[in-house]
Amino acid sequence: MSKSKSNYKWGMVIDLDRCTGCSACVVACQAENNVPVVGEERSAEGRMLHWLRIERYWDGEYPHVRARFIPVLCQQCDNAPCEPVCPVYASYQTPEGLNGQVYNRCVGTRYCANNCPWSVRVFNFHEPEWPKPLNDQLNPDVTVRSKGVMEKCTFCIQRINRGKMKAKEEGRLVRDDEIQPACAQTCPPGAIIFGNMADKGSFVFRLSRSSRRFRLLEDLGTEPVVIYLKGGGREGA
Amino acid sequence: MKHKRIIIISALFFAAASGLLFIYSFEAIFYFTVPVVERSPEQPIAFSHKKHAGKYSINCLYCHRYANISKVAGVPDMELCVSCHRFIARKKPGIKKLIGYWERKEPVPWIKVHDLPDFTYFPHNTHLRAGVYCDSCHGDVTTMDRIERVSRISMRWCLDCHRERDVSIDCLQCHF
Amino acid sequence: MNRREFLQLTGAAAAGGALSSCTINPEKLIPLLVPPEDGSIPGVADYYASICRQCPAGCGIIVRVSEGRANKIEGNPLHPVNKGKLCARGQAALQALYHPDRIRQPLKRTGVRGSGEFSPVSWEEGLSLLAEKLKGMKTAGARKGMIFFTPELQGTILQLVKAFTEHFNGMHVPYESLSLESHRKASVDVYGRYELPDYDIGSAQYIISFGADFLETFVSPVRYGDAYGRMRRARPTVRGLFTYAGPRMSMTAASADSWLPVKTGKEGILAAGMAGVILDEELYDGPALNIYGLNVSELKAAMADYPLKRVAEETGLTERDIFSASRDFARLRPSIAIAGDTVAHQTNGIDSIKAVHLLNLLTGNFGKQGGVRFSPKDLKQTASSYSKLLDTIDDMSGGSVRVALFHGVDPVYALPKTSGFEKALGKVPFIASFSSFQCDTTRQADLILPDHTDLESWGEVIPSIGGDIGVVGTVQPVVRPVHNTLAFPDALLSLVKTEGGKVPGISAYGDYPAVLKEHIRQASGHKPGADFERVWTKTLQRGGIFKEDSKPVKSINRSGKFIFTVPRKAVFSGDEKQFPFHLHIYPSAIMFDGRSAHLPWLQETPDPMTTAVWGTWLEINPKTAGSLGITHGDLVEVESPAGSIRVPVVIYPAIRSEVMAMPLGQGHRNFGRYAAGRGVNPLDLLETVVDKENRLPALGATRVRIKRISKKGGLITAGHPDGSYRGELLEI
Repeated sequence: MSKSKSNYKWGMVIDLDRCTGCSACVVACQAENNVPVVGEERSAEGRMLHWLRIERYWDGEYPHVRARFIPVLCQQCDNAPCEPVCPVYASYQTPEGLNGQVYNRCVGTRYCANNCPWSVRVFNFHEPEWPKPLNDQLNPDVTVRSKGVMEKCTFCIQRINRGKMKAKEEGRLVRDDEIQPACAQTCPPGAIIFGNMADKGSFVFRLSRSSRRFRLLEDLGTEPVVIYLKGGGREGA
Repeated sequence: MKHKRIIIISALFFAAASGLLFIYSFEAIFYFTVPVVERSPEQPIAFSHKKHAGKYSINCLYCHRYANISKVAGVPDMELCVSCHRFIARKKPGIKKLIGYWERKEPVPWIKVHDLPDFTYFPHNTHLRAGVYCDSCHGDVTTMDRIERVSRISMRWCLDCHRERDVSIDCLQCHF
Repeated sequence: MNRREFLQLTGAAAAGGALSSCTINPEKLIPLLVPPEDGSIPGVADYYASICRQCPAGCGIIVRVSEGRANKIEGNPLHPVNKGKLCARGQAALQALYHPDRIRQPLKRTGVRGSGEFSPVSWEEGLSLLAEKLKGMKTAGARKGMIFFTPELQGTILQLVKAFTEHFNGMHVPYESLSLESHRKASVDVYGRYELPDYDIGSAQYIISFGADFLETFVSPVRYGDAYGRMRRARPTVRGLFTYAGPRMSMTAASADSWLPVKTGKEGILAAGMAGVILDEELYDGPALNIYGLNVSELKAAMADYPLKRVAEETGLTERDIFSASRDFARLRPSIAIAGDTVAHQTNGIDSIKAVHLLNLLTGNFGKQGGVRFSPKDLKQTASSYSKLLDTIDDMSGGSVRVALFHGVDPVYALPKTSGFEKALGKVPFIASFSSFQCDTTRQADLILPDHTDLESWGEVIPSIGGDIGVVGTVQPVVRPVHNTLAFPDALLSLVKTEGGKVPGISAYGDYPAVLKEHIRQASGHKPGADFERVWTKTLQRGGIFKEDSKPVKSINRSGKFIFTVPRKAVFSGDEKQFPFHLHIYPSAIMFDGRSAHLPWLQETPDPMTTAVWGTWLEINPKTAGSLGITHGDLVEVESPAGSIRVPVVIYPAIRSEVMAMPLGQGHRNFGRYAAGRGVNPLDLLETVVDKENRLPALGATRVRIKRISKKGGLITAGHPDGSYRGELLEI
């Protein structure tokens, strides 16, 4: 509806040729977004709450074996499978192309996670715990989700909103590179690039047109805005 | 057949209408049943906005000094109160109480009147800059001896204003 | 139900709802007593520059602080080492500050040693207790009466610790569990430099790493991570290539274009063999060799017994692979050969590192852009000495040590059990620790005087590499101390003072922040006064003094000649027949050497290669596992001549069949609720010294045998054992 109205369409490019699998992004995301640590038992149940994970694939057999890393986070699909199944409209498409998750609306049916082909939505099966004074590390700009609520990557919406407010006050649009989600900010080899896809001059847009581009599970037709660039090969960029 | 369809449609319409009515009436009931004690609780010190903001015309920002630069408006620190009242109206019982707190190095435990849920992000500075001034939500405090909540502070109340001013009503604007 | 009833009901329900909401206790608005001194605004975050001290790399950080609470650590874009980037461990340092199991005040032991029974004492009492013990040291006159264990230190803190130990007639023993001693020794022989070489990876065309995990743990992983990204994709026409040689594919190796699974301990032979190919094919840089003082015929003579065929046989690689790697290395210049921990921690480590450096010299990559670089002035960093540490253990068991002090190190955990450190420590009459956590060593202490954590203290950090001369990172407190702790340098100063003594050149300035400020003034070359006050503020805001020197050293100044020999055979502990497998111990990409194991974020961050969390594991080649009847997740017993441990198995496709690998990092007996009693410590399997001659630590020189115990290993992985949870993602 109001999609055409917005000046922004947030997107991300992940260059797999740069990604080293170091997991700096995983901790950065956890720190920025108050993602709880669930502990050993819950981890064994597969209930870890990372919004961003590093997928590792083995390819071939010894000695011609390769390992590849793919950071997987919410793909912020344009035709998101998670959205239409929510009975309370807690997951929806924002005007800037994100798959929003409204925690205070969520009633915890988990239909959305069930419908997500990338398994990037995580559910709070338990009340999060921060033994004192560990709660002092929490980011005051991000809600702490409670038990029974689905959560997921927001492209660090708190940073986007702050950047937009600043730009609005100065009467301009957000500059390229002005807003950085925590993962992109910390990535040592610079594999994660975030920006405004509606701006044809932005770095992220130019990268997204690379011949190395592909999207995860592209044939599902969900139109993800996270674009990956293939690694390997002996050719130049 | 046709008759039946009309019945079904009108039944659906009625259901929708009564649903709406239900939500509205719920809100109305909620609002009117909130007793004045809740909307205007007694504070530990009988601070009067009518006197400070009304009679003496002290600017809101003089005490709530972060309202235009931060998401929070800021409760005035004790030093600010005492900086005037070390000299002004020292004999009055309220001021004596204040000085008492100050000398015990205790903050005054003011009761929160305008309380937003934790999952809502409301930046004061952005609203001020957009021309939504203090009285739009907090009412005319220059007439209040004891501060009273005059707005509903419900999401619909927020949205009404956002719609009226044609600003974003995207959920992630306030909830993240 | 009629309509009236319905409305009545809803009305009642609504009223009920309203009533129940009224009974909630009203929230309080608690004002500040006085406004914040630093002018910070509630609701608006402040950012402070400091330095990360989770590993010796010395990356610059920026800490976000809201309402007096630190809540995010980010990289400092101005710092030349990490350029705004930061690794997982650096970001998790925040949790050390607010860790629920931090030591909150000085503690005195009340139960038996190691029981963990302590009672709180005041700082006056704690300090005077230690002062009393130290006083005896001075009058006794016995040398080595006191031993001070610390990590490798620099700058003012080093000065202070040295002065302190001298004052009390003691000895300072710096110790790093991932010691770079062999690297330094090799560097002195090859380049005549004691400091570690820096590698300009970002501008290189070809990199070959011999067991150097420079993207995860080796020397300066964030700096090299940034460089790696640029090496691959920052140049319009060149994509740098990367080859990794080592018995196990590490996380770093996973990013390589090709992996050479060389046999354990044969990395040096491989490097020598590659040098042989370059010499035979005349691909070397002749003029450069003259400058470096190397002679081609001498080098060829040294390689005479090692034709390519023999090299291939010994290393377990094909002649073709070695040949093409050598040719690529020599042709795709600038190229870099890096030797890492895996190589260094063999008994032939120094020889092997030298062989790797020979490759750099052969192709003339010294002092060039995209090559091996040193800063103009040799940074005489204090380095740990394993040999000295072992002597200290003898002294302790001999009973000549009266007081042992610990700051920032946990040798009870980080030394092989066979070293007898813990037993020797038991003979020391008085042990004091300055640790913020009850690590395995601190648990044995008689007195704990907890230091601030990094985010609460002052300090300075000279990066281990890449901070060319002139880079001094400043550490400043970003929040007020959370607990009743005292800055370590201030504790030392006050100990000297209670004793009526003076530390030469330091006591004059009063407390430690003043000492630091004076030191920075001298380093920045400013005169005291108002001018310097501005410089000081600016330095703290930027996070240090950064004068990056663009003039790298071009010539080699070594005292003697670099005589190249093919590395001798590596020696292993354990008979090959009895113990058929090599044990490969590597620092964990997430936990490092174990010093970060107490941080819950890191415990729950999946290991990049195995996706394992909250524990330790043993990596086994699938074929080997099959022949032993072992499957993923089984519990096995790993036995070496020195001891045995039980650990779950991860089937690991990228490891040699005769090698089994284990990460360092877990197996703490204490160290807070998140680390205590979790996993096992592979160091329990090691002999203290395998190489009797050089007395260097050798993480990779042990042979083991394994036995399957049961099905239940308790392994927890985030991903599926065969790959990951959604295999179809790979269809790319």
